[in-house]
Amino acid sequence: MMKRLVRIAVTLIPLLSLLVPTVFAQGRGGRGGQAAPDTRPAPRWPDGRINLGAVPGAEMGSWDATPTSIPLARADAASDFGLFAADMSEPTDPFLAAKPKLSQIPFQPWARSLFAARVLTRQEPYTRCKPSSGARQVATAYGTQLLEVPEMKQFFIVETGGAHSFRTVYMDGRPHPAKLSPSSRGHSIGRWEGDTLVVDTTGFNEKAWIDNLGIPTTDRLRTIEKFTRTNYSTLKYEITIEDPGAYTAPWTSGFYFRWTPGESFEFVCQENNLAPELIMGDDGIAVRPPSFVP
Amino acid sequence: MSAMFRKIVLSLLLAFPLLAHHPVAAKFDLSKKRTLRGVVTRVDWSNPHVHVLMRAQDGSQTTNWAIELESELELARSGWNADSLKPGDAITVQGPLARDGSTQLWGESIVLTSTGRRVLQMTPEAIAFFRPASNAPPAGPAPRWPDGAPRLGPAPGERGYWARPSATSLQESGVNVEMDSHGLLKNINDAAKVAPFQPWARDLYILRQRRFLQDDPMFLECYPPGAVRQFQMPFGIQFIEDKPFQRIFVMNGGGNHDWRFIYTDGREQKGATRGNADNPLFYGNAVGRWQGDTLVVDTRGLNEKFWFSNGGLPHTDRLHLIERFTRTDANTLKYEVTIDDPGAYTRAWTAQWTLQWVPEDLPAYYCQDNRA
Repeated sequence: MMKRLVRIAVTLIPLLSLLVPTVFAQGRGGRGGQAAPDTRPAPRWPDGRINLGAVPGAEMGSWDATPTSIPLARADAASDFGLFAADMSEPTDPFLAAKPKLSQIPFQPWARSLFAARVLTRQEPYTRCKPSSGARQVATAYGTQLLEVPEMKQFFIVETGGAHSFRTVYMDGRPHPAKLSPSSRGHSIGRWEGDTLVVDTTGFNEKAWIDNLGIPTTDRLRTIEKFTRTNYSTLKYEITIEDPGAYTAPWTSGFYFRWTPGESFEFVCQENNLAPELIMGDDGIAVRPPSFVP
Repeated sequence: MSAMFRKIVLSLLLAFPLLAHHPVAAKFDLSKKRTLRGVVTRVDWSNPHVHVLMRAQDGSQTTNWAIELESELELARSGWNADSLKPGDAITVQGPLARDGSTQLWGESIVLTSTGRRVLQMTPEAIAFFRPASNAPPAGPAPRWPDGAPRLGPAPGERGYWARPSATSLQESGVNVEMDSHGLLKNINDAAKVAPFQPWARDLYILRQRRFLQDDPMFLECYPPGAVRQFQMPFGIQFIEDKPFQRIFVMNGGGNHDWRFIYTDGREQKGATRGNADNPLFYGNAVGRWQGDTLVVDTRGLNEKFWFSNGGLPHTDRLHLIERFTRTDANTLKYEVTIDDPGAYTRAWTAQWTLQWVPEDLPAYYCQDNRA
């Protein structure tokens, strides 16, 4: 136990010095969902569907992930993620243990080089209030609400922090449009497979970062995300990356979210951003944002 | 409408594509126009503005220029795409020059030399799409929830959102001052008539107008449109009534594609959402209740960092809003607002307009979605 506490402290202290402490005060998600399992089952709507959000009459809440758990690759060596604190612990949970290590990601050579450069420069779009993409959109500071609106046949992935925006997932059985204009979030269609929400997304632009490390992707990217509420307080998030432009084979990664009680609120990333030129764009500016952002 | 009159109206509309992200006049001097000939080097197909980068030839001199156009959404609605113009294409471009002297030009027209055809211009149909339809067919009654309350969103099996505001700038009800769709006054001497300003607020309004609204934080920093103004945006809003939790998500199609809550759970107005009064917000703390078929929303706790309307009307953190939303028929949402700000105005005043139902998916536009 003591060893574990020391390990947590050693990991957190350098990070805290880089960050507003309140961000961590609310990030009580445990380490990648490795806390004691919750015996309460996933809640369901009266018609039997899994409820991925709050239970009417019970407390409000949203899904939080520990920032160190959300990179889509695990480090082989402590130096792998540059200034980012690589989590070197070997998970006991089989799902987390199956997350590929950096050496197992089927990078094409150029993508490996770009990844290495991004790890050094750390210009994550998220830090500049850009709409983040893929796994990074779901894993946003201050939690994410999963809002199903069956009457509209739409699902909304609504983030409180970051860009304080939302992604619409069409659940009406439509296909992806034949010609999509590339965008940060792409075009998402979803369906239920048993108790798992499966979201299929294409039409990404190449500016998008789908995690907080900068796993490179191209406009040929297609993601399959699987959301499974394994118990009341745990959401298993799995993402398969198919991008023949950047990888030699599809690969799968993921992490856990924890249900975090509390009401969502207005958050405006731009409000205290002291470098609006990084939001609006200004050629020739290079900065190193803090190496670690929730 | 005679063909000639129609042609004149359309050519006026095309000459002033008023849907642009920012007022064209904020960045470009409409009185200084120029014609450029040269070759396309790149097309930056993204929101908030599509840019065509070109190398212009003037005698023996070549200069790189950025030609700014409407948003990707607007041009796509007109049938254009990222491949409509390709690097290497020879073009002739005409339009007003940037005020700051940089080599930027608003692309009033781009003509492809090889075919003589105009490209990347908005079609009359696309322009009309973003404006209120004047001859809309009669609509059925507002759809209702099983409990009898009107629905602010789509009926089951339908899709749609609210847009095409009948007013995209703000002035007190009954005042009839001419301004463009960005709220720029035709005659600056009309400024004091727009609302019951306190002197400082009138002067600030005039200053913002004299600077062609170029200090607008929504455009400069991609701030949220904020309260009131979100109901005047071209890419619309969607209400999602989250009945089990008695709250309404109000989602913006444009701006920074953000969202806010209106709480309908009977909570009291406290002025700020997290229990501390020094936490003023862009959308404030909005508590709503139904009065018959009208949703009445009381909002306090607003900050001073945004413009609550196109046109740059000032407000302070004492701003208190009462907004009334009534779906008068399936296709019409009446919006009425009472603006009570003893910090900036001498008395409370009102304004109202309507939004129309657009039976499509909400657009996904991001102000931040340009450059790196």
